[in-house]
Amino acid sequence: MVRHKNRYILLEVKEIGRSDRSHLKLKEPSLYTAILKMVEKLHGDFGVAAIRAGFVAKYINQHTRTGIIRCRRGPHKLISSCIPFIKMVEDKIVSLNMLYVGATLRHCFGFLRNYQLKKFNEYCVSLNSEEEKAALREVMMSFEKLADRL
Amino acid sequence: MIKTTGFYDLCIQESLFTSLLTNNDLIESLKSLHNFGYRTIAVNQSIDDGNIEVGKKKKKREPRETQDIVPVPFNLKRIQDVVAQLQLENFVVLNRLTVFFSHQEALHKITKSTNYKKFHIIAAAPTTMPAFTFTCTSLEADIFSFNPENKFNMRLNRKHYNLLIDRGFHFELLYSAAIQDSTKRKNLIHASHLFHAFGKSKNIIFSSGAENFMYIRSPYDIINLGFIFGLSELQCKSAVFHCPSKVVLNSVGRRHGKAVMFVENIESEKEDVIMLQESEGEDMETDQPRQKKTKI
Repeated sequence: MVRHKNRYILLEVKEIGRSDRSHLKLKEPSLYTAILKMVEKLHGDFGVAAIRAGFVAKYINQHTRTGIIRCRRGPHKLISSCIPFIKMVEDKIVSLNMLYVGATLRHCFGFLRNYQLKKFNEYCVSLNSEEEKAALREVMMSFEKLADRL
Repeated sequence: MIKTTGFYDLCIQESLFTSLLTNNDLIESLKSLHNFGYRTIAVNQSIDDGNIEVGKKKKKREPRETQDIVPVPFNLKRIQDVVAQLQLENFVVLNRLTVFFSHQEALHKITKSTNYKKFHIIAAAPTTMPAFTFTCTSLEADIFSFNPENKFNMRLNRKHYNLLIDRGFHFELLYSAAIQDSTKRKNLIHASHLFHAFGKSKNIIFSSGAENFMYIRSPYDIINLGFIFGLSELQCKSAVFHCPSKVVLNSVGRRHGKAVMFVENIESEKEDVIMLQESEGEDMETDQPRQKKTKI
C-alpha cells in the first residue's frame, strides 16, 4: 500500500513598483486561477488535467505576502516550472518567488515560522510602541488558522 | 459461444450507424473498420436514469401502460448482412447498453426489464457517490464507464478500485471525447490519472465512443495515444486487445450464471480414439519407472 505523496510549495508574491512593507490584498482564488491559466498556457490540457487532483492554492498572509500551494508529487514539477512565468495576479503586476518546497505541512510551517520571524524583526524597526508590535506579532505568527484552511 | 479476435472497439454509438442511411456508406465504414484491424465492435445504446423518473410519474397515472424502459437492442441484422456480403472474416458485432444512473431504485427497474437481458455487454456509469458504492458492491455489469462531459466527481479509493477489479469490471476510457474538445479531454486525462494513481491502471480498456466516423482511430494509434493517459505501451496494447476480450468473455459468464461450459460434439474418426487409448496405456506403464530412476 503506497500512500499519496504531496508537495507543498511556499511562495512569496512581490508586487512590482511597491515597497516590500505595504500590504498586498488578493482574493482567495486568484492565485489558484493565475497558476491554472499559466499551466494551461505552457503545458496545455494535459498539464491542467494532470495537476487537477489534489491541487490547492491559498494566499495566506498579506503582511508577508506569502502563499502556499498543495499538489500531488509528480505533477508538482509542472506547477513549479510555471510559477516563474506568472506576471499578473488579479490585474496586479507581480512576480512570484518560490521560497520552499516541502513534503509535509509541518516542514513548511517550520520554514514559514523562521521566515516570518525574520520579517517581523525587520518591520519592528519602523514601529515605536509596544502595542503595535504586539498586534503585528499576533497577525504574523498565528498558524493555527492556516492549518485548518488547507 | 461467441468467438472474438483481433482488436476491439466496444463502444460505437448507435447514432453512427443510424446516420449511415445508404448501404454504400455502411459498407465503406465497415470496410475501413476492418482495415484498421478491428474485428469486434459493440454498438452502444445508453439510457439515463433521470429520464426514467419522468416515466415513473406517467405510469402512476396510467397503470395499465407497460412500456419497457430499456430500449430494444439495436438491430444488428443490417450490419451483419453487410459483413457477410463483404466476406469479412471473424468480424463480430455486439450490442451494448450503457446505464447512467444516480439512484439504485431506478436501476432495479432497468435490470428487471426483458430487453436488458438481450444486450451482450452492460456498462455502468454511476453519477453519484451512493450509486458508485452500489456499483462496487452489488451491481452485475462488465464495464465501468463515465461521461467525459462532466467532471469525474467520484471519490475513488484503492479499496473500491480493487473491489471492482475482483468482480471483473473493466474501466473504460472513451478516446473520441478526447479528440473532440478541450474540457472533455481534461476530464478524461484527469480520470485516467486517477485510475493510474489508485489502481496502477489495471483493467483499463479503450473504446471510441464515436458518434461520427471521423473520430475512430486505428488501434495502433491508440496504443501511442495511451501515453497521455498514463499507461505504458504494454498496458495500452492490452487495453485494446486482451482486456476487451476478457470483457466479452466475462459478459457471457454474467449472462448465463456463475459457471459456463460449452459442450460441443466433435466428430472424430474411430481409429484416432483407439490410438489415443493405446498410447495412454503405454505411457502410464513405461513412464513411471523411468521417473523413479531419475529421482534417485
